[in-house]
Amino acid sequence: MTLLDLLLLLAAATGALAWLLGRWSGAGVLAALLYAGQLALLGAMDGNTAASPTFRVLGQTIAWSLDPFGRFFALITLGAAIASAWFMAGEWGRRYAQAGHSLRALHGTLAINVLAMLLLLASSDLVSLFIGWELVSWASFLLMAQGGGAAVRAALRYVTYAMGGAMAVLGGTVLAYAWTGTLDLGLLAERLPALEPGRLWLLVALFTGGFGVKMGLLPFHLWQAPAYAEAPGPGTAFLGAISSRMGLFAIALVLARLVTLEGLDGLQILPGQFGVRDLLAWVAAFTIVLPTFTALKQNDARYLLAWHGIGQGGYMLMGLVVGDAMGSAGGLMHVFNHATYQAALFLSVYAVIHRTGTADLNRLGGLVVRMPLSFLTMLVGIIGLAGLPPMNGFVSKWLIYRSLMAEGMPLLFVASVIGTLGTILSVYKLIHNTFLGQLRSEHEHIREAPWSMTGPMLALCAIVFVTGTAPGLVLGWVADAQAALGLPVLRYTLGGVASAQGGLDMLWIVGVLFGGFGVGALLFYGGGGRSRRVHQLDNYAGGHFLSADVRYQYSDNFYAGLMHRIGPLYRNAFTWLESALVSAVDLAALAMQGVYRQQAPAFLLLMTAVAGLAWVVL
Amino acid sequence: MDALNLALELILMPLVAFVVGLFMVLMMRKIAARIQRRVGPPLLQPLYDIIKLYGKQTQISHGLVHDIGIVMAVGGYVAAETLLPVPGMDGLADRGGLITLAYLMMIPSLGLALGVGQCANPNGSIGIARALTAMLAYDIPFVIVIFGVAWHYGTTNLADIIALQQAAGPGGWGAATMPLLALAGLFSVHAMLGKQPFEIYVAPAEIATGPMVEMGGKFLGGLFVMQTFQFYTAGVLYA
Repeated sequence: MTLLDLLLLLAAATGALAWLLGRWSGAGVLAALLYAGQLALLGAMDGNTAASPTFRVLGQTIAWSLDPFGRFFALITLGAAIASAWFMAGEWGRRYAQAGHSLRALHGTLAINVLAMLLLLASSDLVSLFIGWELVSWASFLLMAQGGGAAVRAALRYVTYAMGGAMAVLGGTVLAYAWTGTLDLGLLAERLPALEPGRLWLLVALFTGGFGVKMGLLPFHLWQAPAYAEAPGPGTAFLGAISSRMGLFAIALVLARLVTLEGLDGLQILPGQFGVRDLLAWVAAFTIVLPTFTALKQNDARYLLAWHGIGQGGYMLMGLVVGDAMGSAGGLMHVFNHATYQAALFLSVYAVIHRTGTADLNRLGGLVVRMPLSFLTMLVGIIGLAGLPPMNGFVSKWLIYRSLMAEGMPLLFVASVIGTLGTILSVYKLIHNTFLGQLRSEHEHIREAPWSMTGPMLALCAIVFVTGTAPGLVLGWVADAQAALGLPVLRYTLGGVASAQGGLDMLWIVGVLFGGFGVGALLFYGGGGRSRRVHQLDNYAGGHFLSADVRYQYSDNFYAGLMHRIGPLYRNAFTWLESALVSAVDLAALAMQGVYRQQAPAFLLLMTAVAGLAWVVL
Repeated sequence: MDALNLALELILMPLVAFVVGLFMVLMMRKIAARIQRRVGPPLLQPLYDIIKLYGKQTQISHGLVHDIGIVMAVGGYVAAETLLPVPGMDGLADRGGLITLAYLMMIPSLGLALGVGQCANPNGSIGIARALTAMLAYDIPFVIVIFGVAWHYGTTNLADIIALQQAAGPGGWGAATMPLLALAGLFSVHAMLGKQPFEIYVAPAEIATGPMVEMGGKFLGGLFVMQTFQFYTAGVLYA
């Protein structure tokens, strides 16, 4: 009985217990404790841990084992699960059940998601990878479809994309087996780089495309925002935090460990100028920029955050593809960082929905005075998402920027920065429309979210801040993951990175930042007279007197000037592509129908004969 | 560099920044005045302005976030000054380079944006929306300049960049070796300061000074202090 066996058994037991006891009031707490137990088992693991069950198919061994790279993702998965289960342990879960939904289904599907992800992360050959992949897709579908109505439609769209992606992955697996004669990841890593470029191209395209669907890489990203946004509360937090990163796990596995980055260098489009790594970096760059600017237009807080989730995946892939020690460390650390602040943001949005009943940014405002802890969570989350010090998002983005600078890739650098700037704009709109500005009269008596909800939110904030101040805590796991993938390993310190070409020490930066704040506070509170608190209606209105029935809040079309300029650039090109593809498939289906439903089969026979004759003659 | 030296530098660098910034504000007002055929304010006028604003009897606050916003605006720059090496004082330059400095300079803007948000005035919110849009515009050439500088000198450590330029003499200065980048940097830093013709976010006649609409007394005084730091940081960074 190895630790991995215990871990998987515990995960399965959590799933079973969650389904059976889901309706019990203590189910959320039990689930959180069980996930914490899984986390403890994970922490006890060291090096490569293999699972006992194996079986042989076609002379190949199908086995499961967890290496540091998989453990890194498993850590994030379990952390997100703990936060989600904790969030729905109390009042949120009760209200959810009272509204007629099945709390047991939500708990159960969350636990099944965790089990499926652990199985995926522990794969040690292509077949177990595919099994895990299908399980994860199915489990995600279950979680997404909980909401009913729009959620089911979005989930079905996801499943369609996922099936396409899975077929690509299966195709890649079959071809890899046919061309190398093995399915074991270790042996594949030796034999794949020796394949001829044409075959390697096909494999890379199939695997990256197939796994990229889950990750939301352009152009396969359209399913992600509605599917994540319509899922029920903590489900969205879990999905947004880690679910799409499973795609990144698989892509990193294929590209870094199997094909290796040097092997990828052999695949060139314009020899010496533009290769597959550049192509992937540009796909990542577009994935950063385009969804971020789509998020800018959203009026529903959940959709805004979901679109940002798609965009941040681009940073992770870019860091990985650039491939030097800093870049891949930045990309991997970004997975962790993004999980923490995305979960915090989604949870704070759901806390607001819990109290006000809406996530519409044009129907909120001024909630900071009523829900200060939710505001604090969202503030920490947006500073992290925007990648500003002192939060952890800054460190991973710093690493990616440094690697782009070191490798001399100015256009990619600018694309990343455009993504960051767009993020800053978009998240300011989020926090302004929700928590700042004028408080609506119908919200004057709402209370802060209960402790069962603010607890996980504040815990995540603490993690975001602490890992931002002392990134070495996370960089240790990242370095182990890099080593397991065969990538160059980052030399890190507790505060960040020490480098002759300009390093980073977050301990000092955060220290001096808070010192500065102290000085600012001294100047502000120490100098000048006491400030007098005034009511929000005591405000400049050009000589008019404000009253509570007239809305005095700027929220709709928040970036009117910017939208005036770049509005025409939003052409819904990918939606058009998707509907074009659907139409093409419809047409093909119609043609097939026509063929199968012939009234006079003799006609079909004639056509086939003519075609055969033509083929023979010509 | 021992601890005492470092502590001294951490205190002196923002102080120097404040004093030099005051003179830079004065210089801006004097030059504007001379162009308009006026005399312009006396030497210590910027300081008098800040003291006057702090000394006002009426100080209106719209809430804790409003206060914290000003604290962040001033405090962020105080922190940024320690990363900006000047002759004789390196401060923390080796612990965070160009990129960190650029991002630390965004924190005061964020603080200001949060403070203005709680002022609950649409003029202020529109002003911030425009300021952020302007930031999107000027930050893109700014980061191109940063990238160019870092790529050219092979480091993001500001102290090293300064040393390399000093060692090379005037012919090796960034402005000489990368004139187009220097020109782009000039425009983007000008826009960063929000002075004409880049003062869309203030637009005094249209949105009643935008973000400053509900800022008076020590709040506005804090913003004046922030302005001195801004001028100093932008000027020294460009240099």
